[in-house]
Parts: sequence; structure tokens; C-alpha cells
Amino acid sequence: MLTLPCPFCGQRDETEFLNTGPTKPARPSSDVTDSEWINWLTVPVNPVGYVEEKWWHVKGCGKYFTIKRHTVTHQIKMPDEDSA
Amino acid sequence: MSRFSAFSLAWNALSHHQKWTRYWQNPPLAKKYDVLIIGAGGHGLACAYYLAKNHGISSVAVLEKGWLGGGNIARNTVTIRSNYLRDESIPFFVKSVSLFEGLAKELNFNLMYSKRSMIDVIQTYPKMREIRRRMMNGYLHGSSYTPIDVGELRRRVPALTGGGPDSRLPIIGAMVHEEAAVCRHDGVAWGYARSASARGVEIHQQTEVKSLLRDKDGQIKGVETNRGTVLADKVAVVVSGHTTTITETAGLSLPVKSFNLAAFVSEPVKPLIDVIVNCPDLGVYLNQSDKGELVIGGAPDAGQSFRRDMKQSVFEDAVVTMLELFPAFRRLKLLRQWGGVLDIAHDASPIISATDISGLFVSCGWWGGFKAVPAGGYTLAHLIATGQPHQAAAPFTLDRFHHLDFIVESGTTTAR
Amino acid sequence: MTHNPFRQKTGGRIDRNSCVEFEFNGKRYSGYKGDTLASALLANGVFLNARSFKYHRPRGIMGASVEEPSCLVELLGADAGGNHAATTVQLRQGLKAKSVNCWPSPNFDLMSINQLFTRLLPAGFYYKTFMWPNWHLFEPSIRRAAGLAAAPGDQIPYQHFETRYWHGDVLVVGAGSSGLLAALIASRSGARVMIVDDHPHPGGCLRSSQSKIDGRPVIEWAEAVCAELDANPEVTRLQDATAWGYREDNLLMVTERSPAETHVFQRGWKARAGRVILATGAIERNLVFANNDLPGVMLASAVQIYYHEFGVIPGRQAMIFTNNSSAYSLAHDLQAAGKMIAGIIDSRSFEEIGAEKDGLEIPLYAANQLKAAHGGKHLRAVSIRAADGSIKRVDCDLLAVSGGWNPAVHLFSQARGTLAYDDALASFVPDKAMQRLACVGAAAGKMNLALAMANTLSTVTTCLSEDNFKPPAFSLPSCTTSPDYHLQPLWHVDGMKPGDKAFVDIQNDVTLDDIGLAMREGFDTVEHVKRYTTAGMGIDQGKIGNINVIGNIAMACNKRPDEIGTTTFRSPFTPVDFGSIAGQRNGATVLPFRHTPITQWNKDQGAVMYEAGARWQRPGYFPIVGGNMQDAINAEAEAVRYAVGVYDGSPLGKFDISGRDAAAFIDLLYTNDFADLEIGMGRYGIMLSDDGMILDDGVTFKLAENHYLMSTSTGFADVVFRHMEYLLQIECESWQVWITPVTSQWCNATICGPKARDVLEALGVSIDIGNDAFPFMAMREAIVAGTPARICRVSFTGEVSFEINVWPRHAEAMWRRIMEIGAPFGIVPVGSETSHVLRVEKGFLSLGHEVDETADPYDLGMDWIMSRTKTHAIGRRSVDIRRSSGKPRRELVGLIPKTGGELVPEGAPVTPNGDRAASEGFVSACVWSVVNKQIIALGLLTNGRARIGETISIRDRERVIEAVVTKPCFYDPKGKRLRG
Repeated sequence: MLTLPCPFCGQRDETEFLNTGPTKPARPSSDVTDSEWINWLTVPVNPVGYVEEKWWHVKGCGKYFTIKRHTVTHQIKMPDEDSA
Repeated sequence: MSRFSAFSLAWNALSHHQKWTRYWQNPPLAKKYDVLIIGAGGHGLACAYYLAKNHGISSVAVLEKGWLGGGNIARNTVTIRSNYLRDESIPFFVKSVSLFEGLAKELNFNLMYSKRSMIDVIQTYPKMREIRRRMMNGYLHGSSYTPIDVGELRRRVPALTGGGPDSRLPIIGAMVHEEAAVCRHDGVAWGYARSASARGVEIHQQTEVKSLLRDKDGQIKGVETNRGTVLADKVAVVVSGHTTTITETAGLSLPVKSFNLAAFVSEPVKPLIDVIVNCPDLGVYLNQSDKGELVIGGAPDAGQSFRRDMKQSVFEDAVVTMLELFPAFRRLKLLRQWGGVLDIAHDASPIISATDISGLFVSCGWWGGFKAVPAGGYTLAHLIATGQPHQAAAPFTLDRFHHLDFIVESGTTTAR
Repeated sequence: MTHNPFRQKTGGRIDRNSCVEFEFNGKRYSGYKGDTLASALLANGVFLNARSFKYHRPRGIMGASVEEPSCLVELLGADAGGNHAATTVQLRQGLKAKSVNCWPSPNFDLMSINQLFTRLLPAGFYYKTFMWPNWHLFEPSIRRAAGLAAAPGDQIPYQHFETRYWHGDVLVVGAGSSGLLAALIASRSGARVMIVDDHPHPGGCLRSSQSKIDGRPVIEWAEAVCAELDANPEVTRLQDATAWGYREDNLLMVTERSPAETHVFQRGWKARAGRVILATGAIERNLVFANNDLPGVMLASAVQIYYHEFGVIPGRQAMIFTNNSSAYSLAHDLQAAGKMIAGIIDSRSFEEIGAEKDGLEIPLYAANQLKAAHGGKHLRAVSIRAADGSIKRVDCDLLAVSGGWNPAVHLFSQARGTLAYDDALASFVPDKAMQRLACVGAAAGKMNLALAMANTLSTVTTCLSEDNFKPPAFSLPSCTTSPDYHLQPLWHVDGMKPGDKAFVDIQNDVTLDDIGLAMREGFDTVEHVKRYTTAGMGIDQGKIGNINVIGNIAMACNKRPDEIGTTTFRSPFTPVDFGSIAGQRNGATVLPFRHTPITQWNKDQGAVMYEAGARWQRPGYFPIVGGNMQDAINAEAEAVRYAVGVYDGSPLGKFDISGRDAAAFIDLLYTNDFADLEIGMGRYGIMLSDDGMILDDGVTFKLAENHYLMSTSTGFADVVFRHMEYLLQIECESWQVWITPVTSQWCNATICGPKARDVLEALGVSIDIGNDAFPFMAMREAIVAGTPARICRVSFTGEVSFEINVWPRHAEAMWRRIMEIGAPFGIVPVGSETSHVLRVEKGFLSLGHEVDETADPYDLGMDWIMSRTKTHAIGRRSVDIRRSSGKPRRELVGLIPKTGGELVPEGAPVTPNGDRAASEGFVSACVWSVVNKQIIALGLLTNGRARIGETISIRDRERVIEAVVTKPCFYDPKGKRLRG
């Protein structure tokens, strides 16, 4: 179990949080094609490496926040950190 | 291929088993094949076998990064069943179960296939309604499900002493899926590999595909590996968990995410439970292996992962919920735990499909894919050989995403 | 009087004044307080105490600790539990144990007949046979033969397990000399320290040696260090506690088996440390030669432990076989004790053997190997092969074996650290750590006390400095110098013949032949060999033997062991009780109930309560005297239709939504328009997921400009909350909207039925509740029966309804008042079953019934709810795309089944002509309608709306039920009653 950096509460145990998946690109406007919409809706990033994702501090302050987590090492970085 | 039997075993015993030969051959890697299969797991090896057997295509190389049968077929909870909810899914899994039933004799390899029923322990009325629905839908396609009362459940699973009338979630009924089975998972990979090899399929271990190669028209033409370039007009990606890692080398994204799913076993104990017990309301299931270990599984971890892992909180939830129904297991011991990486599609149903890249096929989205190995391989081979999806797998192509026509097997999470 | 023929007259750390009686395999024995079951059995001369898993060969005790592969026992009575290594069972008065896997006894085991067929049972034999006629015929007997001990059953008395958390700076695993030194330095630096050790006493393996630290025997030094640690309130020291799992971010799972609090049977610790120091020591390995499993063959370190710790020497004539220097200390011990030693067989050349041989006056067979051990049920002799091939037979009844030492890298490896192969140690040692941890001492490959201590001091000092502690000046304690550890790999002895029983895995009966067979058949990676032969998959997880598997594969392929690699080290390090993982979590602490203030009242009425989604406990129905469930439901439903009923609607999700952009947010969520909603009015809405599936439905009231109260279904309230917060915090960051979940802040009693208004009037209400002043879908604040309330005129029953929302502290009083005032009007409480009947009569939707993750609002006949102007609502685009494919849709219809009085099971498929074929729809709900006096149903049917009047076929397995398709509303289709 990881500890995660809640921007409001600080470093807390993973069990307090809910992983709500990788960051999606901005919601497409209504003039995109169907296939662009479907792509946005169904095709996630799935990298072996850092994935930027959203966590919800559901058993805490209720804040949604963004981190980068390595999908193999589970190392965590802030979204503005270099993910090399 | 030397034939296996009690007689051949006894005959070889005379020479202290010095004369047994390799299960699969180890030929040099050629430059070109008709078909390349990436991934020597259950689905990949089964596909290779059926390509050779059903379609007469034996210029097939199975390329494996690590060791044959070392992916999820080496780390699942061996449950075989067909009690799905939707018309799209049930026939496929019924086919898989029926292929499984004859497989040991077909492959001349004892898979220790043990048809032993799965019993769903039902603790809420919504779940009862859903499982009854599965029962009636399954009947339409030849998948059986029989309701039993709590008394009969306790007679058939005496170790199940929890879930009484005063417990947090009293058991209200149970449902028996008779054709459910378990079998020796590694054996499935080895058995397919042995028979495929005997039919001329080549299996190349420690052969890692680095990228897919396409010709100027975009058509697939082969792969780049750590052992050089290998050419083929047809390439199938059958690498549960790592599908996108391979397809993205050709610029192909897929509607799947990779997750870790863990399982664990207890110490081996004398025969205690002779069915598969599934507790969908609690999210845990278990069976007892022939060696005596209880094999226990729960839900996948939240969050994408390519790491074979054991998330303590998920594991702990599986343990506490198991103890709700089997309180005496407090004194049973955890022996070993492990994880496996699988990819789950956007609608959580499998994908057996051609792709936008001509000549490139994928079989992925397997979550609970062990039970699907024979039918998955069978139908993928059909697709590769004929270019048309096999009828049983037709709903599982990528086309369904083009119309957001999802196959939603609701409530199956824990049953897998 | 204790008769322990193999106990020395003096020595050992047992309490010779406390005799302990115990029973093993039905016979009574005695030992001393401080013994383990293993040491007591050896002291009593019970050497044959197990049978092997597959061949049922006679087996004895080989080890002295967790590495024990051989002697597994089942504890009986109050301790009941299977598969304990006898070496880890503390002896106590009245202990009862028996051998696993043999019957009737290890001495006379009927299954030992298997030994006659060993030739037929090589690795993987079962893959090659038992196929005809069918595996099913063989399986039951194979299963009975496997499985070791019986599972614990209900005879076990309740034992209390608990969980505790620890957060600190430094967690030291292992209280041997290195671990204690590490803890001492860390604690003196002011760090919060935990030190855990899986033995009952501190000191590690050097407790059983002549080594000295600070001029004192190790055990005395260890006790002094522990005394200092125990005096420090920032130090937690656990003995008889195993760190068995190493998770992410330095979280270690520890099971404490003998907590000080006697009411606690075991305590599971979840320890999160800033830094972990692994001082886990090393584990001695076995050597591979014929009959290396005979009772009397033991690890050299184990013999030393039995001698020093328990005063037991389990033999009269000892022989030592080694490939390294460490076993010589045993020879010195035995010689000093004046015991007979038949000699030392050392595979190394005389020149390679260093100072360790100095002072020994026993035969030294240098550059010799042990060819085989001999004996039936116990070791009688060994044959020794000299370098020139000549064989010499020497009698002995104890063979102490040492194949060298493996650093215990299990936890390091669980923490994802990489391993490197050390040629000098012929073993895998920690390489690159992947978490904030360090290995010290023997765990780091330092196999000599002075080296280990120096390594510990420097490593721990560096770690503490990195972690911003100031380690005090600390001078290294003086240590006895011992000869340098030296080893020459010996993966198996020379001159082995096919058929020799030379075990690489004692517990799973895996021989060197099996490895050879596996490799011949193409299983040439370590994972393949493991899986094909089952080597290393026993309860001991191959602690003493796996390295020999790797070494032998390497030898056979002419590769280095690190090219072969190890199998994965998996948690747990040693088996751990599930109870200690679960701790106190059981029952309602696993799945907490949600309940309303009316729960107790419901129970007092004898309501049938059950879980009704999202862990809410709700009344299903209220049984009536002299009637069955259907009668009770009918009575409740009739009351609502013809008089008045009341139900507790508190579990419905409720959210208070306010802020500048609240209106826009509501518009984003729901598919229909809310812009023209007036203050004080509510509107039914459907929200979709991005996939275009119905997520939830409910009524939202406008309380004021930019202030709404949203209600949701009970089961999906949490999901809706997550959905809304996600949108607000991620996608609409600049919007000003605040959401407060108020589900538990507003409880409601919903009075419904033609006499609902009369009841409310009788209760006393401060506002005009006439239909003009208070129309359908309006909300009013009022004083009801003297209590402030919000009254909503919504209806899920099709009748006039007043939802009286009050604060929770008033809910029960309000409820009782309603029942009292309503009594003359015939009011009855209504459960979920009746609510279901009422909504089916009206054709109202239910999530989980009609809405089964496939239907969209058009399918449900709700085209009107899909706003024409508002295409940006969540999920709208997906619905449009899905429908554009032109694939026929399943549409909501009513069904009148021709069953003759029996309900159709909900979920039953509709099939073309009733054939046994893919379905064309299903029955989503079926009830007895009290107003129509017949069975009615709702269902989803392909192109259903065009098929009204048609007769379709429902298929419940063998049974076909015809039904007439109708519109999906069976009562008051114009809704006059609910608006009345």
C-alpha cells in the first residue's frame, strides 16, 4: 500500500483514497467527429511508466488531485515533475 | 511426440526415465513464417495449436519474451465456468467449457480436469435476482444452473459455517453451476505447446518482440525482436496485460487498461471443499487444489499497473470476507500470494479481433481468461486463418466500440 | 521424572526445574519449559516423526527453526491447527500433536507402500497417466493422499486476533547481533524504533555458538542491549514475531505470536517505517547426496542449536559433511563436550581448509565427499568417497550437513530489490534496493561476526545521517575473531546414479533425478523446473533447498547460477494465520450497516429487514397475522391505493447544491432542461454516464436561485457524488458550485394514498396543503406536528404523497406521531416489496430492474427527457452514437403473463416463439397488482413499442409462459391521482 500526497492533508495511506483513473484529455467539444469522441471516451493512456492520474481523497478531505505514478515501480511524482 | 500412458510411464521407469524426450522442440529462429503469435501463454499456444490442427497452417512461430506459460496462465485461480449473463457471452464460454472437457484426451496430457461445480453463495436479494437471470439465460445456451437452499448448501460445503441468520449478511440461497471445473493451469500451456510443437509449430522462448513492422501500405510485415527481424503477413498479439505495449509500436491504441489481479493460497490441508465456492456479495471465491491448498481470489487492484503485486488492502478485504463465511479459517495459514497483470477493456468484455492494421490481430481484455483459453485460441485461429470472426466470438470484435455497443456483464467482477 | 535419553546432563537454556508433559502421536513424553516440540522429541529419542509427502519415506527433524522442511505436525485440542514445523512449536503443558501425512504412525505408515513404486512416480508423472478412462476416477484418492494436515474446524475455541499500527523512523527485522546493534544505534540517535524477531529470544544464530561480543557471550550481550532498548519508550521490541510481508512505501506486515496481553492470541502489526534495516541473517543450506533425507541427517547449525539452546545432542556418533568452514564450529563444540565425532567430510581440498580445523582431534576427510547415507528408518552409516574414488563406510547415527549459507533475502526481494550472485558465497545477495532499506550483517552476505558488526555500524550510521538523525559516537564492540568464511560450491556429490534418492526439496520429495527429467523434457528455466517438479512450493518454500535447484540447473546447462536466476520470493516469509491478517474485522466491522432512526421501530414491529443496496438495512415487508408474505404485501399495497400508507424514505440520496454555477451544473448533469424550473418546485431528471448509460434518476428541487436539493436513488448515491465531484473538481474547475451530501441530515416519512392529505392535516401543518396552494412537484417549508419540516410532493407510488423531511433527531418521534394520528385513517407502514409493486403498476423505473446497464431513456419511452436544445449534457453524445447504428433496441413494455396466478421470475428471458435460443428481451419486474387483480410485469423487448398487443413467449428453463405486450403502465396512466 502506497502513501499518497494529498495537497490538503499531506501524506496519507492509500486506503483513504480512490483511484479514479488516468487523466483524460479535455472533454471534446460537440463538433468533433464520432470517432474522435469514441476515442476520447474509450481509449485510455496505458503506459509502462508514469501515468498521470486522478485520485480522490474520499475518506478524507474530499479533494481530487493529480499525481504521476509509475505503473511498474509505483513511484510517485507531482504532475509538474519530469517523468523521465 | 512420445505418447503418454500408464504403460509408457512403466516402460520408461525401467530406464529410470532417462529416455523421455522434449515436450517441445527448440529449432533455430527462421526469417519468415506464415503466422507469428506474440506471447506463449494459454491463448497464444492454443491459437497456434488450432491453426495447425484445424486450418493446416503450421508455419507458425510463437514468440515469447520470457518462458512459455509464464504469464497469467501461470498465476490464475483455475476456475472454468460458463455462467455468464448475456446472450453474446454465454455461447462462447459454453464452447470453451466443452473444448476443455475433451482436452486432456485430445492433447494426450493429463490436465487433471476436475468438473466439480461452482456454488454461488447468495446473500442479498438483488444478487439472487441477477443470478436467477443468469440461470434462465444460461439455459437457453446450454449452461446449467440449479438453485439449492441453504440447508443443501451447508450439506455440500460443511466448512461453510458462517452467514447464519444472525450474521451481518445471512445466506439466503445458493446456485449450483454444475459444469464448472478446475484444472492444472500450467498443464494447459504445456499440453498445447507439446501438441502444437508436434504439428510443426515453433515456440521461441526468450524472444522478445520490440516492435511491430509495417510495410509502406501500412500492412503488417513482421516484428523486430531481440534476436532480429522475423517476417510474417499475419501477426497476432496475445500478451495479456501488455497488449498496448506491443500495439503502440505500430501506433495502434486500444480501449484497454492494465491492472494487477492477485490471488493467494493457504497451506495444504486434507480435502475440505470439493466445489468452487463463489461469494459474489462479498467479493471472494475459493477452491481447493488437488494438492490441498485453498486457492482464493478477490477483486483487481484499483489503478493501472504493470506490476505483479499484492495490494495489502485488497488482499485483506478478501481475507476478512472469506472469514465471514468460513470463520474457522482464522487458524488456517496463508502460504503464498501473487499477482498477475491483465488488461481490461472499456466494457470489461474480451476482444478477439482484427485491427485497423491489416494483418494484425489482437486477443486481449481477458479478465478471467483462463476459462476461455480453448475457445479463445480456437476462435482466434479461425479469425487468422479465414479472415472472418468465428460465430462464437463474433460479438467480441473491436467493431462493437465503433457504435459503443458494449457487452456489459454486470456484476461479474467477483465471479471472475 | 523426565526421561530424556539424548539430553545432556547440563547445559542448554531450558528450565530444568519445570517439567512439561506432552503427547505426540498418542504417546506421552516429557520435556522442559523452554523446549520446542522438536527439541523435546529429539531429547526423547523420537527421531522418526514424519513421513514424506509423495513417497512416504521416513523422515526426522532436519532444522531448528523456520527452515524446517521435514517434520510438520498437526496440533490438536485447544491449539488445533495444521502443518506447523515442530521446530517452531513452543512446548507447553498438555500439548498434543501428531504427525501429518501418515497413518497410523510414522513408524508404521500404510502409505509407505508408495516407496515400492517410486520408479513410477517421477516428477510430473501425473501428467502422463490417469487419463483413461477419466481423471475423475483417480482424483478423490489422490486428493485424500495429498494435503498434509486436516483443516482447523469448529472445535477451535474463539481466539482473539487484533491489529495494531506502528509508524516510526527505523524498523529493524531480526534481533541477532547485527539487528540488535542496528536498533541500539538507531535508538541512541533519538529515532523511534521497532525491532522484530521471529525467535522467542534475541541473539540470533550466534546464541548457539562460542562467539563473544564485548568479551561476553553473545546471549549476555544481547540481553544487555535489549534491556537498554526496553528502557527506551520510543522502542518497540517484539520477539516471536515474524515480519512476513514487505509492501510498498516501507509497510511491513508483522505477526506477533505471543503478545504480552494474554487475551490476545495473535496480533498483526502494520508497521510503516521511514527506514527499514534488514538484519534477517542467513539460512543454512542442504547438500545433495543419496538418502539425504534419512532421520538422523540434520543441518549442522540445527545440531548446534539443539546442543546450546536445549542441551540435546540427537545422536551417539556424529559425522559432519560440509563444503564450507562454518560447520567446524559444531565439531569444536562437540569435541569440547567430549562427544564422539566420527569425522568431518569436507569436499574442499586440505589446502582450502583454513584455521577452522585447528585444534580438532578427529578424522578429517578433506577433498572427500559423502556418497550416500545408509539406514532403514534411521541413519546407521555413511559411505565416503575419496578423491581417488575409493569408498569407505563409517558408522554413525547423526549426520550434520552444511552446504553453506544463504543470506535471507526474502524481504529484500519482496521489496523489489534486485539480487546479485556472489561467487565467494555461491549465493544470491542483495544488490540494488528499491525502497528505503538497507541490509546488514549476514543478510548482506557478511558471514563473519566481526565483519557483520562493522558492516552494520557503518551502514546504519550512514542511513541515520541520510534520514537527518545524528548518530552518537559509537565504537564497535570487540568481537571474537572467527576463521574467514570459505566455501566451495557443491551442487550435488559426484557419482550419482539414476534412481538415487538425493533430494533437492525434502518437503515435496523432489530429487535430483526429477530435475534431470524436467530438463530432459524441455523444462529448462528455473520457473519451469519449479512448476514441473514442484520444487520449492512446499510450506517451507524451499528455504534450504532452492539454491541447489538453481545450482543444479546451472550445472546441467553449463551456465552460471545468476544466468538461471531465482524464482520470485513471495510473501509470506513463513505461513501466517488468516486471523492475524483480518484482526478484529468481522461482521458489521467488515460491512458496516447504514440504517435510519426508524430501524428499531421496524424491528419492533417484526418487519423482515434486509440489505437494500449501498448497505442500507430496510424493511422488506411487515408480516401480518395469519397471512403469508404475499398477503402482507397485498395489504400494504391496498392501504396505499385505497387509504393511506407511510414509508421511510430516508435512505434516498440527497445533495444540497449551491453556488453561482449551480443551475448550469444541474443542466450539465441531467439530460432534460432545468433552466425554467421555478423556485419551490422540483423536476424529475435522468443523468447518464459518459458511456450514455443511465446512471441515476431522481427529483431535484429548486430551493432558491442557484440553490438546489437533489435526490438520488439509494444504491447509487455514492456513485453520483463521486461523479459530481469529479466533474466539478476536474472538468469544471472554475465553476462555483458546492455540494453537500445531506442524505443523513434529512430523514423522511412519506405519507401516500388517497387519505394522505387528511393524515397530514390531522398531524397539524402550518401551511395550506390544498392542491392549488401546494401542487404536485412542489416543496414547502412548514411546521408539521410542531416540528420544522420540508414537505415535498413527489410520488413514487402513483398516489398523492407528502414526503415529510425532518432532522434525524426528530425522525422517530415524527414517525410515531404519524402512525398514531394516521391510525384512524387506516395507515400502515410500507416496505420495499410493496413500493416495488406500486411502482410497477405505474410503470416507474427502477435501477437494477429496467435499467440494467443497457437501456437508454429512449428505450424506456422517455424521449421527452432528452432535451432537444441541450446536447452538451453528460452522456448525450454517446446515446446518439449508439442509436445511430440502427441496431434494434429493446424497449420498455408492459406484459400480462398468462400464468394462472404464479409470478414470473424477474429476469426471465423472452425468446422468439419460446425457443431455446438467444433472447429478444426479458422480464424486468413481475408483481401481483392489487388494483388490476392480476399478475402484471414490465420488460424490455426488442422493438417492443411496435409490438403492443402481440403475444410473446417468456422462457423459464423448460417452462414457456405466454404474455401479452401492453403499454408499460397499468394504473392511472394520465397520473390524475398523484396530482390530485
